[in-house]
Amino acid sequence: MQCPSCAYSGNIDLTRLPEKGATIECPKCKAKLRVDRNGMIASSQKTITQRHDTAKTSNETAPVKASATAAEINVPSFHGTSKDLFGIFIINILLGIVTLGIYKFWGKTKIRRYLYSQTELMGERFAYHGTGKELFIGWIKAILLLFAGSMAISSLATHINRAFLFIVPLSAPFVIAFIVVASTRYRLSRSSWRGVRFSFRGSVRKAVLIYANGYFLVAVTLGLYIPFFHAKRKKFWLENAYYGNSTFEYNGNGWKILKTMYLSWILTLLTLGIYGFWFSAKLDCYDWANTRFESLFFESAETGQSLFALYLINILLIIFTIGLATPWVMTRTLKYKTERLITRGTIDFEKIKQDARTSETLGEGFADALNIDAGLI
Amino acid sequence: MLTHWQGQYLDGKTALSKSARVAVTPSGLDIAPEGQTQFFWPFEKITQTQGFHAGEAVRLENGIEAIVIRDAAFLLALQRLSSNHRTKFHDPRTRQKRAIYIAVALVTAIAGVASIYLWGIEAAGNAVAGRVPIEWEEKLGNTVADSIIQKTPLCKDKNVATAINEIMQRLSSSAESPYRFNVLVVQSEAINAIALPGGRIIVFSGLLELTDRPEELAGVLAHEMQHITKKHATKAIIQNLSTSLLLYAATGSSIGARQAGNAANSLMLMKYSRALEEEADISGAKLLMRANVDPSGISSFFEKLSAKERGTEIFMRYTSSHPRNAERIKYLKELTTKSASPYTAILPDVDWDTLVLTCYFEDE
Repeated sequence: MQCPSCAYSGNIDLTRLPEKGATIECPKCKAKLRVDRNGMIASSQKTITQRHDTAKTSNETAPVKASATAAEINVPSFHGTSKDLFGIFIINILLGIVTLGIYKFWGKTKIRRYLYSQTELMGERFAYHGTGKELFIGWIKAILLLFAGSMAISSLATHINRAFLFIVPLSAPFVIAFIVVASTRYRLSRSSWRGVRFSFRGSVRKAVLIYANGYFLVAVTLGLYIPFFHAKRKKFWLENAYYGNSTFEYNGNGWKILKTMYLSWILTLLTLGIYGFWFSAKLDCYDWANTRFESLFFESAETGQSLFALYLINILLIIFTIGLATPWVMTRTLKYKTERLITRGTIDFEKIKQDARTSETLGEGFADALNIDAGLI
Repeated sequence: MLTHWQGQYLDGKTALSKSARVAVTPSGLDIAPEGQTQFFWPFEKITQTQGFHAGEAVRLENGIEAIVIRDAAFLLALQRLSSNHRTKFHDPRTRQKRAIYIAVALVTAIAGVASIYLWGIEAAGNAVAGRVPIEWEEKLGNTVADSIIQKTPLCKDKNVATAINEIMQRLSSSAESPYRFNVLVVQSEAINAIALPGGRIIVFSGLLELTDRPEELAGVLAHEMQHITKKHATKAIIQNLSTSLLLYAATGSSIGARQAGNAANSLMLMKYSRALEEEADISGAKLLMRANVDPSGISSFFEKLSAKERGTEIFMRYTSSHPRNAERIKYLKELTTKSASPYTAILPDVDWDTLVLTCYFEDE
């Protein structure tokens, strides 16, 4: 059997595998391969240099029904232009002024909808189903709750005991966890691909446990625990994210990234932060290589160099245009991120069943009211 | 013209997409996916969710089902054949017009923001400030005064208080102001005086010590009285709020935009407050002359101030909330040398030099 990533050849006794197959690691490059008694389930004969050509043709022609055994490499693409996005921004500004800011919920929705619908994978674009009205209502609920909460706390504090003020810092981690989990749940529930919705099924309680535990151990070990915390966090976010009725898998663990992380910290310190871009690329590479969705594997082609160039130019653009170049910065960043991600293998689309979950907009409402940026967009 | 199209059909039950033939009829779409019987979608139930930009495939949804057609000519056929419902669907021929709308919107947005920023905010400040009742200003002023008094000790010297009272009485009678003025001196080396909304004035003992005749203090007090009478502080507060509101409305309060906005806001406030300071200078000098007080006091005070601050002057122009001292001295001198009426001295029997140094504080 030959590994599609590094072409390492080895022997495997297929009869010893369970009937439904198993995930094994290439002994040389550690790429995850799915095999069953018939051989490799997703085998790719194409090399990296052919990647871009394959991606181009598969996007231009109407895609044929995906077959479960065809070898495939795909790259997501972003088709948005800064011109179109700029147009949306301008309208948002104008209508925002006229409505004294109320329009921003609809404006934000328009931007999200545009960015999603310009992102394409395997010939099909993503879609965003949220509405401005939902965001507006979530915001109003959040404002009312915040107001009522602060009134309650301040009257308890003045009339009964000043100690009630401590409710604020003590409840902060729970509130933050709620905001991030609820916003993610909302955003994923309003995202779809090929007509099937995503969902997030992690609980606030679980999030609080992982983060509280994590911060505690990081503090106690003076930072040495961070690689493990990273893996735990990633596992929580990925394995509670669903596409249809199926979930993502994350197999990273702290031991594997220990050495790289510690070394990277030292190098980042020595280079006054510059190495941070290389560190970020390395970490993303590891995380994507250990992420899987059904029989679809991922690979990141980010490099420290290209990341550095991306951010440097972004900052210069923003500074020299006093922020007017923001749409341009957004499109070029999204182009970079999508075109540096590779997917290997296929998904049996017929097996992905619609399993949409409802979601409240309160989390997003709080995030907006408290000015916390809880996501990508 | 073509009425059949090849597209993809997504049934919303699984992620599988099937090839489908789509036909446009005057009342809806006939859709025939591979291996399935044909079905019909009436236009009333269809929404277009993608396909508004060049190169983007057209996506039409009906509930959880969707069809995706890559040919933009499909949109033209929809426009032609759907008659009553054609406004539901995007007309690609309007894309040219859209570019024009955006250009117009851009110009309007820039013109709008610029004009509000440069003119509207000031106008709003003036209009609203005029309607704020004096009682509200007094309450605000008292709150601020109380917080200053809590932090800085007061000068309780009776002689200083009497002297200031005399000056204020002399000025108030010519002030033509509805406000009740009240002056407090605080023990502090800073050379400063603050006019609070509602009528209270705080003088720092550092400023007091810099003066060497009563006319100079009278000049400063007249300046502060005019700030109050013309409601400058109240106007500035309203302007600050309006500018923040403008920035919030325009940007939806994204954090980066707000920080850029704060910087712009501060610069603008500085510019505006320089205009207000100039107004207080000039009207203060006029008040002095109406009260028959020698107005050379205010210009000689600024000359002393200028001497103290020499060196830091040159860079302060745009970022300073006050006009440069040299300018102030210049326009004040121009104004005050014009009038020739004889002045009555204030407190001619008081030893000013000794008086200003007697400010001491008592423990409560």
